[in-house]
Amino acid sequence: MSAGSVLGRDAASRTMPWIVAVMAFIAGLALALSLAVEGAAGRFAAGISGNMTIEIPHAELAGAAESRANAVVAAVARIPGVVSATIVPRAETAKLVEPWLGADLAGSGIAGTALPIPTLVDIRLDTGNPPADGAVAAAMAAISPDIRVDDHRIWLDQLLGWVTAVRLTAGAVLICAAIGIVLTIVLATRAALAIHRDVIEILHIIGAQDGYIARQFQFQALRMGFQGGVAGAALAALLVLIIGLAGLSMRSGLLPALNLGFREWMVVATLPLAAALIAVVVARVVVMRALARMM
Amino acid sequence: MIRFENVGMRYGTGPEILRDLTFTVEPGAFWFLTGASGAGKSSLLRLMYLAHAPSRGLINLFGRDIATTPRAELPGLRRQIGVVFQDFRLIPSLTALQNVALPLRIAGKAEAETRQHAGELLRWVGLGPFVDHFPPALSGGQQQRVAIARAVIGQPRLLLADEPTGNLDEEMGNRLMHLFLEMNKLGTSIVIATHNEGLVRRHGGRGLHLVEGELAEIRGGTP
Repeated sequence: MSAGSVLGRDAASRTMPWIVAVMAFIAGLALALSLAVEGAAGRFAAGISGNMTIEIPHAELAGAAESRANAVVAAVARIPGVVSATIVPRAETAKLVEPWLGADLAGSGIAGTALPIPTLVDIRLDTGNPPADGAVAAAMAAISPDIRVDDHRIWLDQLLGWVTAVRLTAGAVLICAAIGIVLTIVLATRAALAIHRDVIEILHIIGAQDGYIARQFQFQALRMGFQGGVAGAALAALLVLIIGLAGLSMRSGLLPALNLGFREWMVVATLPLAAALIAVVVARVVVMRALARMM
Repeated sequence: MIRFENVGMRYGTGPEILRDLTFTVEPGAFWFLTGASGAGKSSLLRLMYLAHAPSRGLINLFGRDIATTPRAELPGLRRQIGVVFQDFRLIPSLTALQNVALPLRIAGKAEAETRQHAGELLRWVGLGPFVDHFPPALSGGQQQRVAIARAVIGQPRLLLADEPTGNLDEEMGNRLMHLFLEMNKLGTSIVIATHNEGLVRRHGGRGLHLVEGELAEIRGGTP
């Protein structure tokens, strides 16, 4: 003989999982996208933070650019913390502007005249022991004041700012979704209390403690919260997967891949548990407060 | 067992529907609670089974002053009371067996004992084939018998019944009264609210008579 469900199903218990599912979907989407963006930004930042780019302005005289580039490479190589310095071939530099200018213009210029593309020197740094702040810039200034050193700091700062904004937005969405779940459970539990008023009174009369009665509602809330949480989180995960796959097919090389690792997926997988936990706690609080008003 | 002193009762902010009730139900009593419809019989029972607080006066149950008993201890007192409701008040999502077993389960009794005891009681009231039926699938009389089985399964010290034979045929009504008398011999105090004057006369006629919320007569009891 099973104990049976004292409360049985009611209209509120049929509707609530769907509302929780919507909330969990929104929360799951915000969480997954936030984690994906954070991961992608982290990978992207790690990729460029060990590099610097030196930009040597175009020189009109043939061979001048090459000799300046060699001087730069020689100067940089002497700086402690620099692993390597490589002159980027003109063909590769031209490729960088190819998406905007077209292959013909970027490669050979108009009527055979080469575009005034600067010479780039790619520097790889020892990330464990990087050069002192400003050491590379000082060495370049000694060669020529018009040589630019790009340590990607501006880009990294902007990226960090953007990731922080995404995380804050996701956090706000998560809080809103959690509040939505709380309010949904409060309303559904109050409705269930009204619907099952007679059952509650019977349980009281035959000697049930408040905790026993509250547990009946908690079981119901647990089931509905978990069901809704699973449905919403699964749908969010599916959408994130689709977005990730779509990103793979359109990657330009500039954008990092937007996908989740095992740890991030595990975080998303905790959403149904979080929804169930919220549901159980809220249902208990609502029921215990209501029962305290009874004799 | 039960002592009422100048007890009044009202629902919400409405008028008092019970006034100045003073009486004592001694241990082992077999009492009837009589009165016309609307006299307050069911409300008086609600006070007795601790479903409602009095608006004034003192209620002493099993030697405890209800007004000063901590709320957390009231379920322990309620478990010593069996109640048969006029409208059965079975839990529709539970089978007949689960309904009958519920008081024992709430009291934390062992599952095997609970199942055996509930099954025996249901067979005794003639519902052996209906143990797995849900209340909506049972007739009024069958539901009444399930409600009676639920009320007596915990072997209460006090049994309160509101028109318990109202939905039963004569034979089942006689069996039920026989059960109540047997329980009474074993020490359970019984209070039965009824319109049935014949039933009252056949069983000694002791008890309370209410008229418009006031105690009009105590037949053979302690005022």
